[in-house]
Amino acid sequence: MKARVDQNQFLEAYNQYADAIFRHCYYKTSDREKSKDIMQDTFTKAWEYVSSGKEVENLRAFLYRIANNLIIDGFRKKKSVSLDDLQDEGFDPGVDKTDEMINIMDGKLALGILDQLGEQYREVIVMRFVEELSVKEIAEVLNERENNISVRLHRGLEKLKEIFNHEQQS
Amino acid sequence: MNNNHKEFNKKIIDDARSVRLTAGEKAEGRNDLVKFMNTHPVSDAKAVKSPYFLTSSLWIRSGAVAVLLIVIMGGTAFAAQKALPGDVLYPVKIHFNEGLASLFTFGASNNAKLNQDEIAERLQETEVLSAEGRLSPQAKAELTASLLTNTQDFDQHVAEIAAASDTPEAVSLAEGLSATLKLHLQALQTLGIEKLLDTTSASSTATTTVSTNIQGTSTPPQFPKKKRHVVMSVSSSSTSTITEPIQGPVIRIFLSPEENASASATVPVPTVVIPPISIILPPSLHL
Repeated sequence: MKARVDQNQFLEAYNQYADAIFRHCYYKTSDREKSKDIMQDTFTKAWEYVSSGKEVENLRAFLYRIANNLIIDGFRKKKSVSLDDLQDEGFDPGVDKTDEMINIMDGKLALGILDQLGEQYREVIVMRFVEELSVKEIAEVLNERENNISVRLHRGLEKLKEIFNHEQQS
Repeated sequence: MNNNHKEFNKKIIDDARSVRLTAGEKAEGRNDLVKFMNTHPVSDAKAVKSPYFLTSSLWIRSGAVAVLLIVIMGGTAFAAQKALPGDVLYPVKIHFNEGLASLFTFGASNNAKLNQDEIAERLQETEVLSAEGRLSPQAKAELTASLLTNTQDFDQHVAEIAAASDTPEAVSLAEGLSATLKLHLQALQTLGIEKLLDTTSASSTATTTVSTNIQGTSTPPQFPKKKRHVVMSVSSSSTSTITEPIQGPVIRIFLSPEENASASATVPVPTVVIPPISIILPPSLHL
């Protein structure tokens, strides 16, 4: 059932899903700052859509979909920029948050393991087991059939088992 | 082993979930979002209707389907209009187009004209097929059957008109068909039915065969009492039924049953004199 979303509902959705969207971007880009920007853009774009009076059936899946599209767009536009250039343009790196970063970057173990799965399986494994999206929602986000998602999940888990066995041996 | 594997998976998932925004980052993002939302308030406009809004109403959808069907059928009917025997669309032309036309044609006169148009169409089709060398035996049979049916119907309609005492109209229609048949004489010959020219009511008028019916040798139409009907015109000097063709316009006089009963061979038929017949029939139609 599609429904219109008001400002309070949307902010509530931000509180609920901001971390998940950020995480989703992080596992795809491996770039914390970029992931933050994409997360922010995701909510801005979603608000533009719903505030224009359009209805959304599943806001959560809708947010993931926007994030995915922004990531793809980001890869297309990818270009390297030097820090000097940025500083010349007035960029200020700001306060050093290294200590805080150390506390929050525990996910590197997972990132290392999940990276071995390859993009195809990592994406669905993260969405299903880390973000706890349903198979139907994942299918909606990726615009694929539920059956395909189930197969990929199954194969992803098999691969994860192989990685585990390999880790045990080593 | 299995438990270890589960532990491993759980550890990865927990570790993965530990990736999150700091409280500061989250609050900052929220503030930015609130600012953006304030500059982009909810539009008062109603929900934008899908351009495919037609799908929203069953009635409108049915209407759209009906329009589509009409367009498809209309297009097919239009395309079929030029079809020839043997073409895929020819049955559509015969059964649908012409069937529809006859369904909406009322009155003996209009029906006779429709028959005449269809006869002309069949003859034209014959000519085109013949010229293109595509006149198969099957097409020939189909065309012949249609021509015979149409001429029979035409005769019937003309007889009805004549029975309603509208002789000039009947004669005019008969002349029209006669002219059409003569115009396509070659097509008639191709089909081997040139005799049609001699057997229709058109020809019977044009060839001025005389036939009188006093005592009901053929089945007369049902008439109101005490009324005489001249089906086709002119008089006969004979008081008995004349069977062999003689020169002169056609006359068929039907008497009401009472008159028939009292009529004898001595009934003076010649009292019915219709002199203007020479004006009705142009000389060109006399074979």
